[in-house]
Amino acid sequence: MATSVSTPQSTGSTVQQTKVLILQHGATNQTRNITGGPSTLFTVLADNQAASASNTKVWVKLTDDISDGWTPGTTLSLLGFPMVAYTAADTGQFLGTYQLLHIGGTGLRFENGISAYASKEAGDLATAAPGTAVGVQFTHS
Amino acid sequence: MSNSAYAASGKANLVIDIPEKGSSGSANATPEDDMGVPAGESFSSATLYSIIVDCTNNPNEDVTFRLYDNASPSVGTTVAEVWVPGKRGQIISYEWPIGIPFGTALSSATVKGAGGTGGSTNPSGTVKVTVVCDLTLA
Repeated sequence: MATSVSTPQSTGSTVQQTKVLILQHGATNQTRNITGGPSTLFTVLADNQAASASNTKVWVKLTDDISDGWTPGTTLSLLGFPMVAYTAADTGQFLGTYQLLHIGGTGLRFENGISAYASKEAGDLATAAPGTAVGVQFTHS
Repeated sequence: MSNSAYAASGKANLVIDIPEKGSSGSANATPEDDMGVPAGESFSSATLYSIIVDCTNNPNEDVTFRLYDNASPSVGTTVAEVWVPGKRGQIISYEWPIGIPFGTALSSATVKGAGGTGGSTNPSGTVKVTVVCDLTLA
């Protein structure tokens, strides 16, 4: 399995982009600390390009907690939404898919920090890992 | 909601206000079941594009707005398909330009606190929610 990618890139302003790869195996590897708090989230771009029969639907879940040792399934997630993979009509092969979330107004404030994980199950406490890796990119303060 | 919102194909672009526009009520933990489907009709599919959570009159605590792919969810038990927070005293909009598909139904609830499953307490103040979606009838 590929190693994680976590490359915070300061633009010189207060807004940054952080891209993470959420791994497919193991609850610990599902969890990614994005940034410490307080922080304001503006966009989430999730990438399920490796969609397959075992990875048809993946939820991205965000938690207002960046403390070491928190694990999916114990801390309530603040926000969650799914990506759905489709199959090509002519070949039946799975197509990669994206999901973009834009948060308007003044953004969504996370007091303690932004953490994320992915699961193939809905619900804030479900932890079953996706079948394949999911990339998620965040724009935040 | 009247049937006139729907074209002959049974598909409509809907703006759903919770509670209904002009109402003095609040979005709360009592589920809004099978939203947008007129009496005598049935749901076929929906695509969610936007949620606006207005907590300007709910200053005391954060809330969570949940959308269920379920025609009659049990709030506190049924797992939500999408859940987003409303922050005390603020208006926040969430937009998914690609859309999120719902295949069974589109129902909702608004509860005090965080989380997409547990919790079924009403917000203490008045919360207004607007949902923008495509909805197709069977």
